[in-house]
Amino acid sequence: MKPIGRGFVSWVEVAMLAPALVLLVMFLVVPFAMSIGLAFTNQPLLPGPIPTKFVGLGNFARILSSVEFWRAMLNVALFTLMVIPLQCGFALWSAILLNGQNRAKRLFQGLFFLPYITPMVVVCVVWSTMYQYPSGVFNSVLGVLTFGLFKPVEWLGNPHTALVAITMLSAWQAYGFQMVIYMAGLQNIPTDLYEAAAIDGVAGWRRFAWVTWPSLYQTNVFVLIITTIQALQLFTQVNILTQGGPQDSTNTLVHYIYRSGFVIQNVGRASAGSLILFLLIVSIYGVMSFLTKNDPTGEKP
Amino acid sequence: MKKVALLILCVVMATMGVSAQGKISVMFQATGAEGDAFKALFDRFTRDTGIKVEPMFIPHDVYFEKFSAAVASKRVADVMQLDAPFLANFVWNGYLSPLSGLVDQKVIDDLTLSSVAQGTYPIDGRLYALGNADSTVLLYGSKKLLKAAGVRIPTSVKDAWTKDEFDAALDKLAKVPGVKWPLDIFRAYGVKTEWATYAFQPVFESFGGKLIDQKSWKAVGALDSPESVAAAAEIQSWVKKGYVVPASSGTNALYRDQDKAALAWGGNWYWSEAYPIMKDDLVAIPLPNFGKGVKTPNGTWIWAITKSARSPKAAAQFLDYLAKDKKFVQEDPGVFPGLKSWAAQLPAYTDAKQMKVAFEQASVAVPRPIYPGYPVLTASFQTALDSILSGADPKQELSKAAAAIDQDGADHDGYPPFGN
Repeated sequence: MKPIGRGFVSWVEVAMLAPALVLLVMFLVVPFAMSIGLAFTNQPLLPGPIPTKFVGLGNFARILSSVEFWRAMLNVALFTLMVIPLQCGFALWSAILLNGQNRAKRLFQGLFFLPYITPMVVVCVVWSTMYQYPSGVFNSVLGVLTFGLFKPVEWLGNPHTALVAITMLSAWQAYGFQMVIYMAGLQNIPTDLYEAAAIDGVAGWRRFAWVTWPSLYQTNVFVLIITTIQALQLFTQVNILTQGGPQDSTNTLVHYIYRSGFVIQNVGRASAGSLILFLLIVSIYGVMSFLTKNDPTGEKP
Repeated sequence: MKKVALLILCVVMATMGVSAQGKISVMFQATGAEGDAFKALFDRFTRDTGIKVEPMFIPHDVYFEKFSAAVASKRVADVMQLDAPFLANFVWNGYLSPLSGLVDQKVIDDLTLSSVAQGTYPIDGRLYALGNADSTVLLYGSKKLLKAAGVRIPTSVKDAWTKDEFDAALDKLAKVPGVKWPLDIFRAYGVKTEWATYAFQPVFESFGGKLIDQKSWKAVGALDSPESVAAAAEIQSWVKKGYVVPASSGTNALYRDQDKAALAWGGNWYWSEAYPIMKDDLVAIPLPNFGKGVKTPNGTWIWAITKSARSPKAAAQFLDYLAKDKKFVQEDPGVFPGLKSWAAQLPAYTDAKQMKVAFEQASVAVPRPIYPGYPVLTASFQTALDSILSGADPKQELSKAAAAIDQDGADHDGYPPFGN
């Protein structure tokens, strides 16, 4: 093939990439650029009699001084702090348990992965039935297990428990993804490390703490970053189950943006919110990458 | 070659022209049996007039958001339903055509006063929407349980319960064996749906408060006035005392066997749900008088013709047909008449043992504010009420909501000429 340009790329390669690139630009880059532009205007969702005007940093000022926005930030931070240990912890535990190639393990790997391929909407509907007050599954089972000491709780209606309820639901649905990543990470640990540990008489919990966990450093970093970014974008569960309530205790950043755009109909404000979220995610990613760039185990990725 | 191409072009354009004449798209929302009644109506319309109907169904709690998406992608239907209080917003934004000259004058004359009020845009006084149905909210009760509690059953709006009588009734009903919750306010309809504003604005009005001042179009001072706060506190007290059916407990508490409710604060459509099961035990009771008289809501999904309709005449034909269709009245359960000719056909509404009280309430109906900023008004009110029902401070929540409503008004320069 005759290379074009500086000789790096040939026409065939460009042609192969073109469809994906076109779609990427049309549906990702262009709307993003438009969003940056709209963030500085007061564009309404629907065209109306009042013309759109440029408002400079007005949208940003309004968002950053809004109590609802900061509550959403707090909620998302709390959610992230709760969901990471729960989801990643359970994913790691199942990965260790199910690591292997025999038939039984492969079967259970598939079964354990099922929640991840269930649509979130379906999971929300089923769990909302389980969270029913006073006699849903959770309330009944906890009541029986504690011999009646546990009083039924309105999981999704109580401002103190609503976010916890959503966390549990989210962790259950999504842990499959992290489990698969951890399995790949575990399989990358050289077996001679384990053999050396066996010779030294290290087993069980100490083997996990001193051999497995440090060897998973790169995997952990990746899982942490991915899970954080996903957690910051919590929306579907909130939109279906609680719509931000009760008393703003489950409002999230994306839900705040959605409300600004579709309910209050202020696309300018929603775009400004999206921009803020984007900058937040980028900076968190940058901080995490910086903090974790030196692998203490000396392993090259 | 050129001639053939031209011929093909002509044929294509002709068929396009013909289909534009013979087809209308209808955007609507409906649930269950009502949806089936609509489908049958569309089929009958096509059979009788030859105009094809392209139905666009949207679930009613995301209706406004989906409609916005339709406008943004230029896929607005020719005929659309809209929730009555959103009329001012749609007309202000320029989406609807006035009905006079399009719809048959006889149909317009047949509308009840409440219907005309719902469909009229106050700025130019023209009718933009046809309300063939209307609605109301009342109290439903179980005669057996009310008698067991020793509570008087009012028979008309004139001797409705007072606030103290209502509170006392709830206390008494809570003690009756077999009653899990004295009152069902249908929290199960959803956390933030139009039900909140629709069903509870009358309580605010009956206390002497209101959602927004209808002269200055400002919510601060109206929504957070002492009377409004008192109304919110009263509703909150029912939940605090544990008298209200929780949101996750469904909507059939009045007529099911387990975990029963004694009273239900429900819409007129609930009659057709509860009556087949409760029969003569079911009684319709007017809403309580909390001080300034019994106030009830009205308003429902009304029909309009959009400005972008390709064939306004075909759209108007559909509205005429809908208003004159006898079968639809019978097939749509729980429909509340907005046309005088319909009321005569529905015996339930003249029977004192059935829903006569409901129809009587239409005379004390207070419409929701007819204001282009209604979408934000209702969203803010729903958020506030949801927080209040889960224990937040009423004054704080209502002040927050009022501030948000006025902020939206300011963002739109007061929605001229409303807020000037």
